[in-house]
Amino acid sequence: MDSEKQLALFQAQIKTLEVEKETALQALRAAASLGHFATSYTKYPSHIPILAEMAARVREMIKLAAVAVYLVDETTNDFTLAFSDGAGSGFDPEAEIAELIKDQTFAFALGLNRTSFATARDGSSQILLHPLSTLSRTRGMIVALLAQPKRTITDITLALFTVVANACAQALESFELYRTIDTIRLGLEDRIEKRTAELQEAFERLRVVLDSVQAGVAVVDAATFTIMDINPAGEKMIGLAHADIVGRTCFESFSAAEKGNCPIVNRGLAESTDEHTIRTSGGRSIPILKTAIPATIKGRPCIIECFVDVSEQQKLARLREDVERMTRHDLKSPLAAVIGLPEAMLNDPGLSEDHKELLHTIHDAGVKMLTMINSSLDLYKMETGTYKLRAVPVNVTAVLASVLADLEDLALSRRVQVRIVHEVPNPPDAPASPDTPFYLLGEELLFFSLFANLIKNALEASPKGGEVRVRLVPGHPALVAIHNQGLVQEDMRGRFFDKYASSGKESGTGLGTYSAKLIATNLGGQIGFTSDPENGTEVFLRLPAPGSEENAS
Amino acid sequence: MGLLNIVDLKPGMTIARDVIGKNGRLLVPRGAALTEGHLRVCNIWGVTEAEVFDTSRDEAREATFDAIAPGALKVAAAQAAVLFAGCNTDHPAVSELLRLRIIELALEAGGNGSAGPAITVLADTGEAGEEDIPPAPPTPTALIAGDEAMGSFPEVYFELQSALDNPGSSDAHIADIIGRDPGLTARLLKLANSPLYGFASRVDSLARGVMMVGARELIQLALGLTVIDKFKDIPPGLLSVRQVWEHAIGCAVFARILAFQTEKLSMDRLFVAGLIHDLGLLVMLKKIPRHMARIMKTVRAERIPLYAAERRMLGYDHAELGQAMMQKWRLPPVLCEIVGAHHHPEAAADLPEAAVVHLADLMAVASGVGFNGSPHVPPLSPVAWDSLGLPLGALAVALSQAKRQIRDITSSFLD
Repeated sequence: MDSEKQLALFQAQIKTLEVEKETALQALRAAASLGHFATSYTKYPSHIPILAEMAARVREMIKLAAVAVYLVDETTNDFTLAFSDGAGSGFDPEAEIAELIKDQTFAFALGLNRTSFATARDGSSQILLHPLSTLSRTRGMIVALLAQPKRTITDITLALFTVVANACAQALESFELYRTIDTIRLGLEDRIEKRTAELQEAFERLRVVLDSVQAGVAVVDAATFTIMDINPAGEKMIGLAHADIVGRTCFESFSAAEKGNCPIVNRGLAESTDEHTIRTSGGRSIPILKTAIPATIKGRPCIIECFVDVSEQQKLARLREDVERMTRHDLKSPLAAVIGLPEAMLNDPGLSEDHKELLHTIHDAGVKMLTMINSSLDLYKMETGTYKLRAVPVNVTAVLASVLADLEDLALSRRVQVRIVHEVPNPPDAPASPDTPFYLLGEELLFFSLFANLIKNALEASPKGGEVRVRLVPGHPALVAIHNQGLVQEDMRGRFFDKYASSGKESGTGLGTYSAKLIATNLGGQIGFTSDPENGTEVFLRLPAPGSEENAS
Repeated sequence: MGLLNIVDLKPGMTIARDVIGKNGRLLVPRGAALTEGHLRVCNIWGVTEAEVFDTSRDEAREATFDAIAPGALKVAAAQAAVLFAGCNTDHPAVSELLRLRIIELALEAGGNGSAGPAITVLADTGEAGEEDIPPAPPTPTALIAGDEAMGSFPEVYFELQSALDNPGSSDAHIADIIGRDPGLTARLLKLANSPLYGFASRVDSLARGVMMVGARELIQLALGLTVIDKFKDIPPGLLSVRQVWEHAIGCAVFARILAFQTEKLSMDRLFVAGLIHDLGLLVMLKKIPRHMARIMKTVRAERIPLYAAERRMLGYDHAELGQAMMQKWRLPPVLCEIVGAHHHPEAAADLPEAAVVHLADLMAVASGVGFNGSPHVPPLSPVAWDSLGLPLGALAVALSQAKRQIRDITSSFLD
């Protein structure tokens, strides 16, 4: 070999090496990006972007007039066109592959994990075929129309083409897997969302209730006695912000109990209600009624504290009492003149008998009114439990006479006879008569009011022309029973002695039997009644009599 | 009920057994009425046959003849009878190939409007007189002895082969071996870039080809082409170079397709084996053309296989000669054996591979691809057929697939 030839050979070798190096670099660059498709593809709603990306990449490697991608329809196992570009090339992938399928060239190409070529229907163009398959599954086929001569495609390019096709198949598989998982995830999320919404709603509902109630509600950790949560009403009562209350102990906030003597934790009560005052941040005292119950929240023993501000109620009650007292007092002041002035005028000797009589009537009415106000005041006191009984022996026979005199008009109008019966012990100590004294322990005014009420009721309840019988039975306690032939209506029996209970009488205030019961109770006695169609109605009173049973014996 | 070729399946037929594709895909369930869609799916997934309730295989085979004009059929049958003379047509595979050939011939005739002979008529060289021929070398070894071109094969190839066989060899090492002989590199690249590969891909450098593609296959393809390249100077007259090329390509393509259908054999190795299976015949044509002319005459006159006539006259056949040649060149033993056993594969150690080339050779002749010196299809080895485990329907599909592949390769290479 001469030197010239040697030189030419070396030059050729250098050129080959240069081309080789360039191609190798190109291949390395391509390989670096070809091996995988971006994971973000899995977020796309369809697999089309993956196919488009693959088509774009293979176009950088081989000049292609058109690229079509067929994917396996997993239901029918048919290959369906999923992606196609190069519309202007006149390439009809469907017609081309129909031919290739017919003579099973397609099946042959599908079985290779590399590129194969087939002559197109026109007899000259070349069709490139490459299956899209992963190790486990055939997913489709790339069908492309070559735009460069077949023999100018290097083996490296074809090997890289296979890398891209396999990566694409892998991406399709990942995408499908992602979709499957996503579907499952969406289903789960849906369910979780629904459950969360339900819980949220329940929670909101509870929260709304807790936030809107006027009572303070707080959750206290049973172990440390620190406040874990409190509702707005509670915050308002204490006068501190939520954050300032949470973390404080219940004892320094709203509990009257001392540490170590908690009724729930230390004494094991299932519920504890007490009344006391809390001192607000502003130094004010608020009377509260508090209920505590034990509970478990998130596995921790807790105490639910619920407290109501009762200061307003107390104020209202006091105001009402004040008004009532003032009303009664203000009524009594003018009565002094009504009672006192007629007495003074009666000293005038120049008055005619008629005028004297009128003045007496005015005076008596005044006195009666005063008595009524006083008794109403007494009734009020009894009701509030502040009445102080000054019990003395009272001859009830005389009181009854007075009552009957008062009710004479009513008795007459209803043609009802009132009979006083003294039941004597057997054998009788003394002959009984209507005027026989019958002593009970109490106050004359109260007895008057008591019997006036009950006899008036009896007169009104008795059928016309009937009889009201008052039996007086001595003993300890003594018994006074007032009987009439009427019947207490069925619906009235359960609430006979209740305040404002009335059977719809015209003038009924519903206070008669109520005050009777109040007086009886304040006298230290009992009241009851029986009522049936056969025997009529009898209200009976058991009242203390002078000389206790022990004394008597 | 019968197992029908995929091409004989018609829409409306009822499937008698689940049609399963590759990867265990259920393509058509038992009891389904076939649709055009089903047929397309079956073709996509390489199904070759399916069992139906409607008709038997024989009935279906008869039905395919019904569609052909009786006259054309008669001519085609007569032509095919010559082709298959001396062949065991009782064997179902041979019988199937015969039927497919008749249909093909009849349709070709119908398409052309004539029923002209489809068999290449050999030129009579007139040199077949017995008295003129000196005795041929008595053994294959003697025949190839003393010929430098025949006796050597590039040293680099063997170095390369051993480097490839060593799993420790790096790609750089392989490139080094090739780079030591720029002349060979160029020749191998030239050969490697020949479209005869069937891959139609260009190799810039063999070293890179080694890196990127299956190196073994690439070298084997290069080998196949190198071998054939040696016989460019076959004397004209007996056989045209083109006919031999076509037969070689046909056999190679069939071998590749059959390897594909068995789903377990190397497609590339069998493609190469198919390509060089008649190496011995090429040697004979080059070294003892007058003997070959007489052998071919005998073949035509007595309707016996070519190798049988060779044995009678020479005492050995082209398969043996080819094997001897390849062994001398120290080509891979498997390849040598496949080539040597292509007329009696039942004896080969690598039975399925030898069987593939055997059947591929037979199919190339049966389908009229090229010409290898014999107008008759060689007899089929039933053992070889059984060793492949192919369904009968695979034959029709292989013919249909090969038709396109052979056309694609020959058109880009020979035209």
